[in-house]
Parts: sequence; structure tokens; C-alpha cells
Amino acid sequence: MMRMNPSNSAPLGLVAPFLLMAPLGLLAAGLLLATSDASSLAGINAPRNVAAAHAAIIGGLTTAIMGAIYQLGPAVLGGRLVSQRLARIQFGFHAVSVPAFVWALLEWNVMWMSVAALGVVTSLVLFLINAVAAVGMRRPNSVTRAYLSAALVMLVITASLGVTWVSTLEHLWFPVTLGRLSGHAHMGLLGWLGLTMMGVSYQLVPMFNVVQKREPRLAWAALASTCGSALVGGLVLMSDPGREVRLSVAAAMAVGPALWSIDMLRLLLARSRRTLDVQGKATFLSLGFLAATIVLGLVVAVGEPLQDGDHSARWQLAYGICGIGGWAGIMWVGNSYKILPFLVWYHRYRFLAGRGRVPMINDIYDDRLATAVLWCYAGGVALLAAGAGLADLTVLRVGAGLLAGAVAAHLGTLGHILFAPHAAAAVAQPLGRGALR
Amino acid sequence: MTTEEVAEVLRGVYDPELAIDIVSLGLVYGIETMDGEVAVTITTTSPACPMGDALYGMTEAVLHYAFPLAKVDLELTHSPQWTVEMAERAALEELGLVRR
Repeated sequence: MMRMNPSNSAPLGLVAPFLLMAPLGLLAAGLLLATSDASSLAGINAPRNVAAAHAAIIGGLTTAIMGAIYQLGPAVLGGRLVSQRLARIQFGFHAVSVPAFVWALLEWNVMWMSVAALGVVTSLVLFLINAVAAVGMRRPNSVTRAYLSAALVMLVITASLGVTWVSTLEHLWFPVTLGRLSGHAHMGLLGWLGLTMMGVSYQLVPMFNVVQKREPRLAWAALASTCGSALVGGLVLMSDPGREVRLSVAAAMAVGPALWSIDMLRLLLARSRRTLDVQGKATFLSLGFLAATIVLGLVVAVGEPLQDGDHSARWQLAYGICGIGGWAGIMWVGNSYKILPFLVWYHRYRFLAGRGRVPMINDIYDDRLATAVLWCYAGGVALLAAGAGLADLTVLRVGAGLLAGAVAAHLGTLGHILFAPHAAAAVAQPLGRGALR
Repeated sequence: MTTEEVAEVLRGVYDPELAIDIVSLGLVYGIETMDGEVAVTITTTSPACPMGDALYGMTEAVLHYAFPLAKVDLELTHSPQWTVEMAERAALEELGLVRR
């Protein structure tokens, strides 16, 4: 098991902006879907759907992962940042270019798509320079490092595919078909987001839930399966294959996450910390949404018999919502209530602990409020997916509104964690025996 | 300065993540006192625990505060690796492993 050294980690001021910007991306996605019209159900490639997906993935989850890798890479994996200044510049590019890119997609403004995509690509390149060193890709393997290394490779492939399209809306001399979009989307969702979440959870779930008597058994099999299916399956999907091939790809893509789920369940059931906090609850919820995603993926792969003319994208939309908003989004919401309080405690109170009264990590955030945010978020995602699947725009909009409200509350709680003076009056009090806390 | 006194002082050091003191958690592997010197060996709940250096710093600071004239020899080890069976009943109750 990796030994952690948080003293190597990036400063709070570098990481926190990424963690605070991430909910804004999810909020934008929620608001975009809350104002959906019939076109959202008619085609998965409707501008609003494409804009919402990129707001959630690049603006929300990828931004959060960037901050987390800057923090966890040096602290957990023994890597280092090439340059903190580079990371700050990268945040600037990201914060400006991602909203512009999402707006350009929504307006389907090809010229601005190209301009904004240039900024997004610059941000990704700057991120990769630091991330490769932070993850320590050349060091001896650990499970988490192997997952993150593979995820970074998939990020490069996914972004490269995307960037070849934005300037001409063609893929070299081929038109961008639904199959090509599907390949790009699956490489991004399964290859980049999926591998990152799976790898990080192999580190965080045993640690936060005090799991000792069980080791993950399927981590390497899940990694190999996920890498292979995301890459090969993604390429196959780009050829717009028939139903049988689509079903085979969907089944192959389900294997890796399913193996990972078994590992997570085994670990969680063996935990010594029996009382589940928000992160534990989020992990269970996220696994539930993963199961729904796998089922919907198979439904989508079946294709035409399950589609009706005016709502041909409904199952695809429900599938994407469950995968991006449910599996990945819920995992992020839960872990954010561990990562940010830990960072605040470590950077603000570590040197005061033992010399005066300091808050515990649980004092830095309100677990009941965080749990309420989590349930509202999960409820929003569930309604949103149900609305899409049932082709009911009202339910879809209500779900998206609930999701947006939950994400706004999530942002508020993260801001409170970061900026509120937790037990500040107690910090300066003199130490008494047995009264450190 | 006795081992009992040192243990009592160390009950004031909390694992910040679990909010349970390190003596109740069984994270204190050994306490030795002799001739104005105190030697303490501690561990963490996992080798991957991100709070290892923070726990070390807290324990050291508390010992220096409580016994300002003593020479403090503090060691952080992961051998043997901590298991939950090392925790006291109060900690097990807090973790939810046994009923209160």
C-alpha cells in the first residue's frame, strides 16, 4: 500500500479554485437541461445535450479531477508538480475557455467552437505536463497510479478525437456520425472519468472506511478490461456498427466497472468504520447508478426497436445522465466532502494541533447537510434520467432543476468549508491535559 | 512522570479523521519512562493514512507541553500493522463495531 506524504502536496490556494469551479460546471449542465425542449429528446447530438455533457464533463468533473490530481499525486503517489505557476496559469485557461466552449456548443457557433477549443486544449496540455509528473507515471506501479496513468492516456486520445472535429465538424474527410460521437463519448466517460474514479476509489475507500481485512482482488483485471474495452470498443463504435456488435461492445464495456463494483462492495462490507458518512453513502449510491448505467447501455445498444421517432435519443440521454451525473457525479460529490475538509485541516490546523484546541475534520463540515445535498443531487439525477427515459419533458426539467439546486447547495457548502472560521475562537486556547480537542 | 501519566496526556491527541483519541484507538504501541526521558511508539490506522505526520507532530507537541523538562523520543511505526482489535471498547463503540 502506498504511504502518503501530504507535506509534498500542492498548496490549498492552488487546489481550491479547481474544487470550487467544478460545481459550476455541473450547475451549468443542470441549468441547460432544465431549459430543455423537445430537441433534447429527438437527438443526442442536439446542441443543448452536447453543451450540457461538456459542461458536466470538462467544466465539472474534469476540473475537480485536475485539482484532485494536483493534490493527491504528490501526496499519495510520490510524484511532484513540475511548476505550481504552470498549474495556476492552466486554471486561468481552463476557467475562461471551458465556459466559452460550452456556450459555443450551445449556440453551435463553429468559429467560436474552434477558438474556445484551442483554449481547452491548451489547458489540457498544461495540465498533462504537471499531471504526468504528479502521478509519477515512470515510477513503480501501484493500482492507483496505473489507473491514473491509463486515464491520462485516454484523456489525450479523447481530446485529440474531439479537437479534430471542432474546426470543420468533420473527422478528417469523414462526417461526424452518431457512431463517432459515441466512440468519443465512451472513451471520455469510461476511459478518462471511469478509470480515474476507479483508481482513486481504490485508494480512498479503504482509507476513509478503515478497511483492513480485505484486499481488492479484481483491481488489475478491472483495469485491463476497462482500458481495452474503452479503447477498442470506442474505436469500434466509431464505425457505426450493427446491433450485435453494439451489444458486444456494451457488454465488454460493462465488465471492468462491474469487477470494480464487486471490489468496492467487498471492501465496504468489510469496513471497520461501520457508521457510514457522506462519502460511504455516496459510494453505495454511485454503485447503484453504475448498475442503472450498465442496463441502460445495453438498452441503447439494442437501438431501433426501443426507440420511437420523435424521442429517439431518450434512452441515450438517460444512459448519459446515469453515467455522468450518477456514477461519476455522485462519487465526486461524496469525495469532495472528504478531500476539501482534509485539505483545509491539513493546511490550516495541522501546525496548531497539539499546541491548542483545533477542530476535527468532522467539525469542518456538517455531515447531515452534506448528506442532504447528496440525496437531493441523487434525486435530481434519478428524476432527470426518468424524465429522459419516459420522454417526459416536465419530469426531466424538474429533475434538472433539483440537480441544479443541489449543486448550488454543494458549492455553498464547499465555500463554507473553505472560508468559514471553524472553531477559530478555540484555536488559541491554552492546552490542558486531556483537553486537546 | 509515569507511563500512566503519559498515557493520560496522549488521550488528548485525536485522530482528526475519526475524532477518536489515539490511546483508545490503540495507536500507542509503547510508552517507556526513565530518568527524565519518555519514549513513545505510535502508529496510524493504515500505512496510507494521510495524517501520519500530523499525528506525529501533535503527539510530539503534547508531550513537550506536558513534560517540558523531559527528553522525548517519539517513533512512528507500521510494524506490526494496526488492526481494529487493538482499539479499546469505547473506540469500537464510536466506530459502530459494538453496541453502546
